[in-house]
Amino acid sequence: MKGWKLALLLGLALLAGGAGALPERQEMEGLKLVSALAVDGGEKVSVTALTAVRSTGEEEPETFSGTGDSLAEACRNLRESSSRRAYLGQTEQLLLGAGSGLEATLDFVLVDRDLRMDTSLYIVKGAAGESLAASAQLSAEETGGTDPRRRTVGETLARLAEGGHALIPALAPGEEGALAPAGWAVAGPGGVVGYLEGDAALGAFLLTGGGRGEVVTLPGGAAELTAVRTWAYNGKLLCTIEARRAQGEPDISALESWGERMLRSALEPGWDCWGLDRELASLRPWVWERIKGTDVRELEVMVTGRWVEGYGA
Amino acid sequence: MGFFRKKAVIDPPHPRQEPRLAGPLTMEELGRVFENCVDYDHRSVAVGGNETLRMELVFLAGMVRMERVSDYVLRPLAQDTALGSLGEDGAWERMVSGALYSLSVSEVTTLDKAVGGLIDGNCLLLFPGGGRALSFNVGTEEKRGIGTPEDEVAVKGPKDSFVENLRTNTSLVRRHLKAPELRVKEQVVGRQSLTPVDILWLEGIADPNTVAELEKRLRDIDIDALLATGNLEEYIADDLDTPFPLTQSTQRPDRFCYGLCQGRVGVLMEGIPLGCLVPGVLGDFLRAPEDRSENWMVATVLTLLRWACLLGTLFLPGFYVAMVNFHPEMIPARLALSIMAARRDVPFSALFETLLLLLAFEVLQEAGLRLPQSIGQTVSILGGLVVGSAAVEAKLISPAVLVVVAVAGIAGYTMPSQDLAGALRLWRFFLALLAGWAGLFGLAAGAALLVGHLAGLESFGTAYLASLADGEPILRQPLPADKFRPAHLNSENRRKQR
Repeated sequence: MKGWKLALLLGLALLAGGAGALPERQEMEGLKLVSALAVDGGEKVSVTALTAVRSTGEEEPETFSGTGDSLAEACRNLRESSSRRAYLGQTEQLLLGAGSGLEATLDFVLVDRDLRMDTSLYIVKGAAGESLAASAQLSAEETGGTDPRRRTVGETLARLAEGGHALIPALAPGEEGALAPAGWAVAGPGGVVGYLEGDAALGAFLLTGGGRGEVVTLPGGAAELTAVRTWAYNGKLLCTIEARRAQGEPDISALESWGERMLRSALEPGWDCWGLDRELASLRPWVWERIKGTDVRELEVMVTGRWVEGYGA
Repeated sequence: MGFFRKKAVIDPPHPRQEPRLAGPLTMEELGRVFENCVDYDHRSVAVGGNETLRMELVFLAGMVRMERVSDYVLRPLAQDTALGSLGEDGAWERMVSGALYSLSVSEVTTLDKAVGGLIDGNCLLLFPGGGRALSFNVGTEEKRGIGTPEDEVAVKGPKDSFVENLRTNTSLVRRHLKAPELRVKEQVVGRQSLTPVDILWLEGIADPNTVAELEKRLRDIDIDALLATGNLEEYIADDLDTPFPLTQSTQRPDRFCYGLCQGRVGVLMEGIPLGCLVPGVLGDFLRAPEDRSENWMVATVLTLLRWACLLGTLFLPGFYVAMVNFHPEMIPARLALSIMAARRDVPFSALFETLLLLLAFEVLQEAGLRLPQSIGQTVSILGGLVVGSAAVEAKLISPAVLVVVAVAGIAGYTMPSQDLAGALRLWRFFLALLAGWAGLFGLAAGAALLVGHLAGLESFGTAYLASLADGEPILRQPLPADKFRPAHLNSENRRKQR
């Protein structure tokens, strides 16, 4: 009986191996780890990859690219462009340049066996491939890693699937072509629908609960934000801002009016990138049909400020 | 000749002759039985100085204590003149009723029993006509003193350990468990070794079915000699197609007695300084004897650590192979880069490298065990540190795999039972191979096979995973809350404290 069981297991194992049902085996040293991938559209789709290197400084990051009629073909060409196979499973940043289809790219990430849903997504104002090559290595503060603005492919897909708009951090080539933060791109049905910059970008960041550590210049001094919390309830957008005085003696009302101005700027274009309508209906689901698609510009914004003291502030 | 088993040959008959020695009980027959035995000795003695009434004293040198023979048997036999005047039958009666100073005396009438007595360390007294003999217990008591359990170190527990003498071992158990319900039943195992094997249990607590089954299995053993614990364990185990231990061995009488109190049945053997407890289920092998001496919170943390180490020692090498060869996306980027850089000049595949190092680890361990302790330590240091670091520098192996195999190996040493650790070591190879075949899918399949295998095992009718299934806590409870004996032991009295 045991012999039969063993034979059956071996048979199944051989069958699985022969049918190609098992994952492909590859030695790690035969791979080239890609840390960032830039996609540019146009007549042909081109992808540019930046290799990951250790922080010891012994190696220089390398860029290489592939082109094709589709993103899949471009990626295949990229993978086969050198003796060591480009491995996209460790890609931390995905940069979409001008002309690249957002939806098509996100769909590709969904089906590709290597690319991951937790890859950080960025929109580059301009050619992403060239900027990536010029940047040589994206610093963790600018993109990915500890970047508080970080949005993943999965989060963006989920937000778009809800039928709303999604915020994607935007980058723009700065001095010497290196990429620098440039507000937010707003993704909607059909691709990028616009950008939030300046006060609107900061307001959008506050609406995501970010902003801790931002130093704000106010009449009478400056304040450093320590915590921001926003929520929508009963037709109102409520926000509490906690800050500590960084310079001078600014008034709390100045902080509150600054916060209100930022939030208003973010809401001004009318894109609900934060799911505020769902939040409004979260405690009263029976009004969802009425609230669905509420114009965020109509929300009453109420900001409450508070000074905090102490080491932890 | 087959690899594991001898090729089938014509099976010759293997009858057991009963009685082993037939024939009359005479000096001539005894001499014939012990022909060419230099330790066989006998002496003719005039009973009470009466030259017409002589008896033969027979013994095996080395098996008896000479002073006892001289002082308690020979002296009264030669000096008690009353014995000489009573005639053969009268003297015999007097000797049986206490004329000679021995704690125990028995009358034997068969050659088989007489020879058995001699081998056990008795001396025989018989008249030249033979037919019957008096057997006096004057055996030597040379034995190793009760020492500390070297393989199961006790920090906060009793320091006594079983020895090679069976009676000493049963006395150690009696000293720990003074309950008159303690039962000790003896059987003799081994045609040539004639080893006494004692079954111990607490009447009213142990499951009588387990006792009966153990007795039956011991009765069924028909081997030449019972000289090692494995001889017994393999014969009484339910399943031989497993590396996992199905009986629990211990050097410590306190642990043995705790097992008896739980409702398990114990086995002690002459010549083996170990006690064996049945049934043995997985949970038993993961509990250290010290657990009950430690603070319950400390013991709980240590138990969790032990379970984590069990998983680590089993799966870590396989997990490493699976991640490096099939799922590099699971490795954090920085670690992946380090592994890639370290593996760049290594000529072997990750699987081969891991298996090679696992094998080297086993070789080192085996070498360390077989050599004297001082040399063994040197071998371990040379092998582990010098050869290991040299191999890394020579790019024969990568540092990552060295760390993985070393961590897995060390995690294996946390197992309280080395029998279990051995089984885990075997499965570790198998799981690494499966991981090299199909990555995490292979590893998961291996884990499923392992669980299936464990679930199919039984020890004396108790499922091997019973301790996990019957609600017995894995963690160490505070002792006042631990009120019941494990359900899987089918104890007649489950409550063990108020």
